[in-house]
Amino acid sequence: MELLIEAIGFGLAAGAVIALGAVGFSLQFGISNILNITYGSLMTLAAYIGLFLIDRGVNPWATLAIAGVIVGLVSVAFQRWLLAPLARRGTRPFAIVIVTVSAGVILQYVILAVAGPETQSYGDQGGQTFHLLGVTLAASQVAIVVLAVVLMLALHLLLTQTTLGQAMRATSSNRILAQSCGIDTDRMSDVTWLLSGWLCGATGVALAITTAGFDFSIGQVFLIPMIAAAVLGGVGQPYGAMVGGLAVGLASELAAAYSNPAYREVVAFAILIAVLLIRPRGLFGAAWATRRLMA
Amino acid sequence: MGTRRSRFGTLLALGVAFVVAACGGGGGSTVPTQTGPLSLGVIAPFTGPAAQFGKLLSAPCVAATDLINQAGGIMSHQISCVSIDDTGDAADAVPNVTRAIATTSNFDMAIGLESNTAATTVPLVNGAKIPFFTTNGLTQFNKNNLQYYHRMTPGDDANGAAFADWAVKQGFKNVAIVFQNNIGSEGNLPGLTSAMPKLGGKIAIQLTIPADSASYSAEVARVIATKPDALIWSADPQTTATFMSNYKQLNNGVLPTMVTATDSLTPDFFKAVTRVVGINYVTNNIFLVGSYFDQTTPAFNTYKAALLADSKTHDIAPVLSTVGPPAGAYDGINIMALAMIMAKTTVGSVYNADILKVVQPSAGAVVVGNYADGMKALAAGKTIQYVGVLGQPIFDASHNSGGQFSASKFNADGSATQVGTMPGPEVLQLLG
Amino acid sequence: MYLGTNLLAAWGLNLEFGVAGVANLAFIVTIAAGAYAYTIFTIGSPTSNGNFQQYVGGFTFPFPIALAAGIVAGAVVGVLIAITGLKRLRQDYQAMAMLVVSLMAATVVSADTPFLNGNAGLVIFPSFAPFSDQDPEVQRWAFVGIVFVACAGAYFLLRRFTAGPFGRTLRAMRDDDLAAQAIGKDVVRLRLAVQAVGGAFGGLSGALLVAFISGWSPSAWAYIETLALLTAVIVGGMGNDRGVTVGMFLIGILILQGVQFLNDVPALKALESYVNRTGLTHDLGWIVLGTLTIVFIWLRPQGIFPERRPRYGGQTS
Repeated sequence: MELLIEAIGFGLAAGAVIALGAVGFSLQFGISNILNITYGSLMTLAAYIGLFLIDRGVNPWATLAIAGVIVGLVSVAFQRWLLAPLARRGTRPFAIVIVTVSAGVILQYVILAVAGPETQSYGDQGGQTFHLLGVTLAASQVAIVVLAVVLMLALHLLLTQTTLGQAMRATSSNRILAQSCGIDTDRMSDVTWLLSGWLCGATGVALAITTAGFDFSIGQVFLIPMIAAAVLGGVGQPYGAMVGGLAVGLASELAAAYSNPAYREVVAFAILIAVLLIRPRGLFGAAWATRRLMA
Repeated sequence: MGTRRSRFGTLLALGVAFVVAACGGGGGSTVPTQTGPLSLGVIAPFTGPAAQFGKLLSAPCVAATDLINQAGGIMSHQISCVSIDDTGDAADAVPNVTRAIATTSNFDMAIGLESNTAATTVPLVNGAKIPFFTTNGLTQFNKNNLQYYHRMTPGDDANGAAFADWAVKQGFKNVAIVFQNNIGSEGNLPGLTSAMPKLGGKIAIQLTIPADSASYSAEVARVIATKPDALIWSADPQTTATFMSNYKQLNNGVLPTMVTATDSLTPDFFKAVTRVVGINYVTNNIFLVGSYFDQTTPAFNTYKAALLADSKTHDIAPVLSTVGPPAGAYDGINIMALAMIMAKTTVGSVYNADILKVVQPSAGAVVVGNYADGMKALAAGKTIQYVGVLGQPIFDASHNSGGQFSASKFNADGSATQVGTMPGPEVLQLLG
Repeated sequence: MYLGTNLLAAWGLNLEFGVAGVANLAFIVTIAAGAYAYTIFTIGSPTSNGNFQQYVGGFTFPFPIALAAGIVAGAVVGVLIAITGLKRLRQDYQAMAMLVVSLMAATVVSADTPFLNGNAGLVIFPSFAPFSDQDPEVQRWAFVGIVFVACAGAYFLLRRFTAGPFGRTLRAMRDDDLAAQAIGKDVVRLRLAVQAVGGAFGGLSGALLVAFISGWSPSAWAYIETLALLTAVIVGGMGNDRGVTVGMFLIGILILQGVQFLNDVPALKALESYVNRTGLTHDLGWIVLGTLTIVFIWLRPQGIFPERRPRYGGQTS
C-alpha cells in the first residue's frame, strides 16, 4: 500500500512534466492542424541552452524562462517560414509531418555534432525532500508541479477571459470563419506558436532538471509520452492534455512499481495506440473535432 | 505497363547496379603483400551510444605502435592504427568491417571487437584469417574453435561472479542487483546470481531497468524497501545519474555502497555521477570490479609512459592505468608483433601459429615485458616468454586467458586505484 | 548486396505508401519479423548452442525453407499492423500510430528476454549459413547471386501488381477511398492485402539480410531506419518503381555508405580533430538525409521520377 501511494506521488511529478509538454504540443496542433515532431528536438535544444546558462551560474528557474523564450522564437520562425508556406501550397499533412520529423533529425544531429554524445547534467538540483501523506517528493519536483498548475491556470484565464485568447480559440476551431470575423489569423498562429514554443522550451529544461542526466536524444525520447498524453486528452484541447499528462505519468510509475520496469515506456505507447484505435478524439475532444482526424 | 525493351533496360541497369554495389561491399581481398607499412585494425565503436569506448580502445593501439615504431618497426615495417567503426550495433558493423578487410592494405592484426558487436565481427575477422585479440566478454566465446581468435579479458559470467565475491568479502551479504537491459549486463547476471548463494549471500531484489528513463523513483522505492547492504549495479552514465539522484531524494540523502564493473571507469560515468551525488560518494563508496594487473611491473611502466608521451592519449592515461581490456589489447599487439618476427612473416595465416609460442613458459626462455626487449632477444636467437601488463597469459583450448580480478576505487581525478584482489581460480570456481 | 535487400524493402514500402497510400512507418517491423523468423528457423534449439541465448522456437531448417518462413512472418506481421491501422484515421495520425507500433515492438522485444533474447539480439553461427563451407569470397558472391535473383523475381511480381488492374485499384483507394468504395471496391480487404504483400517484401529483405550478417538485434531496427527508406521513396518518386530504385541507390549507397568514404577527405578529417569529435561524418550523413527530404518535399514532391499515370485512349491525366 505504501508503495502504491509513493508511486502515485511519483506519477504526479512525472505527469506534471509530461503535461507541460503535452499542452504546448496540443496548442500547436489546435491552431495549425500539424503534428509537430520537431517539438522533441526543440526540447533537447532547450535542455542544452539551459546547460550553457546554468554552467555560467544562472538560476535554474530563470534559465527555464529564458530557454522558453528562445525556443518560442525558433518555433514561430519555423512555423512561419517552413510549415505555413508548405500548407499554403497544399502539401499533404503526412508530407508535412515527414518534414517535421526530418527537421527534428537535423536539429538533433547538429546538437550532437556540436555538443558531443556525452551525458550532461545540471548537477543535483533536487533540493530538500518533502514527505507528505506518504508521498516523497524533492523540492524541484514540487516546484515543477506548482509551475505546471500555475501555467495551466494562466493559460485557462488567457483563453477564456481575454480577447486574444478567444481569438486564438476561434482560429483553432474554424480558421476561415475566424478570418471572416476580422481576426488576423496569421497573427494568432504566431502568438500560439510563440506560447507553445515557450512551453516546449520550459519543458526541455524541466526535463533536464528532473532526470539529472541527459544527452542529445532526450527530447525525442520524451516526445512519445507527451504525444500520448496530448492524444489521450484530445489533441487541440489544452486541458485534456493536462489530464492526459497526469494519466500517462501515473500509468508509467505504476507499471514500474508493480511489474517489469522495462515496461515503463511500453505503457505510454500502449495508451497512445489504444486511444487512436478506440476513440481518436481523446477524452475531451469534441465530436465535431474528429472530422479533422478522419481521412 | 512497360514495354519489353524498357523492362529489359531496367533489369540491365539493376544488374550493373548490383555488380557495382557488390564490388563495394565484397570485393576481393588480395593476399597482403609484405612491402610497405602494416595496418593494425581497431574495431570499436566510434559513433553511436557506445562511442566513448572507441577512444579508450584506440589508446593501447597508439601506445603500442609508438613503441614498436620507435624500436624500428616489425622487421623494418612501420605499423599504424586504422580505426574501423563498428557503430556499437552488430548489424551495422558488418558493412564497415567487410569494407575495411577488403580495402586496408597489409591488414594482419586487429584488436577491439567488443561485446556489442563481437557476435558478427568476430566471425568476419576470423574468416579473413586475420589474427586478433578481442576485448569482448561474451559467454558464447568461452568455448570456441576459432583459429585466429585470442582473448585476454574474462568472460562476463566470471565478472559477475567476481562482483559477488567482492561484495561478500566486504561484508555485504544482502545485495540489491539492478542492471540495465544491455548486452554486457545481461552477460554478468548468471554468474552473479549463481555465485551469491554459494558464498552465503542473499539477493534482496533483482531488477532490470530500461535505459535513459526520466525517473526511476518507483524502482528506487522498491529497492529501498528491501534494505540492501549494497547495490550491485551496471548501467550507462545517464541512467546511473538519474537513478542515483532519485535514490538520494527518496532515502534522505543516504546512498548504498555500489559495486560495479570497471567498464564504468569512463570519464563520462565519472563526470555524470559526480555532478549528481558529489565527489565524496564517488571516491569512497563505489567499487569497480574487473581485471587485475600489477601496477609496479616494468611492463606496466613502459605502457603507462607510452600513453603519457603521446599527446593523443596523454589525458586519458590515468584512467587507462586501471582498466583491464585496453591493457590486454596492448599486450595482444606486442604478442602478435613478436609472433610475426618469430615466423619471419607478416602474413596472418602464417604467423598465427606462433602467437601461443610467444607466451609459453619454457626453461631458458628470456622473460620480456615489452616489444623492444622481445625483438632484441629474438634477434639474438633466444626463445622468449612475454609477460606483459596483465601478467602471464595462460590461454586455454579456446584461446581465452582469464587472469586475476581486482576491485578498485575512484580517485578525485577520475582515475582509479586498486584496493583488493581475487585470484582467478577462486572466482571461476563460483561459476560451477 | 545491401542495395539488393534495401531495394526489396523500398519496393515493399513503396507498394504500401506510394501506390496504396498506406502510411506505414512500422514497416521496419516486418523486416525485423522476417529476420527473426529466419534466425529461429535455422539456429537450432537453445541448449545445442551452449545455452547462452534465450528464445522461443529453434529449429534447424535448410536455407530455402527458412527464407520462406521469413517471407511468411513478414506478411503476417504486415497484416497485424494493418489491422491496427484500419480505423480511417487521417494519414498523419496513422503515421503516428504506426511509428508508435514500431517503437513498442522494439521495446517489448528488448524488455522480454526469454522471447527473443532481449537487447542482445540473436546470433546465427556461421556454420548454419548457406555456402558456409566455401571460401568467404565465394560465399559473398553467392549471396549477391541469391539476392539478385530474389530482386529480379520480386521486381517482376511488383510490376504485375502495380501496373495491372490491381495497381489501379490501389491508386484509386489512395486518391479517394470513398469513391473507390462507391464503385464497389472493398477497401478493407485491399488494405490488408497490400500490407500482406508489402510485409512479405519486408520479410524477405530481413531474412536475406540476417542470413548474410548472421546477427540481428533491436538496435538494428530503430525507427529512423524507416525514415531512411521513406526518404528514398520520396526522393526517387512515389508510386514509381523505377524511381524508387533510383532513390534507393542514391540514399542507400551514396549517402549512407558514401559518407564513410568522406572520412578520407582531408578537410573533413581536419575539422573532426579540430572539434575533437569522431564520427562527425556519420552525423553529417543524417543531417544531409533530413535536408534532402525537406528540400524534395518543398521543391519536387513527386520525386525524381514522378508517377507515370497510365493513359487511357489518348487522354492525359
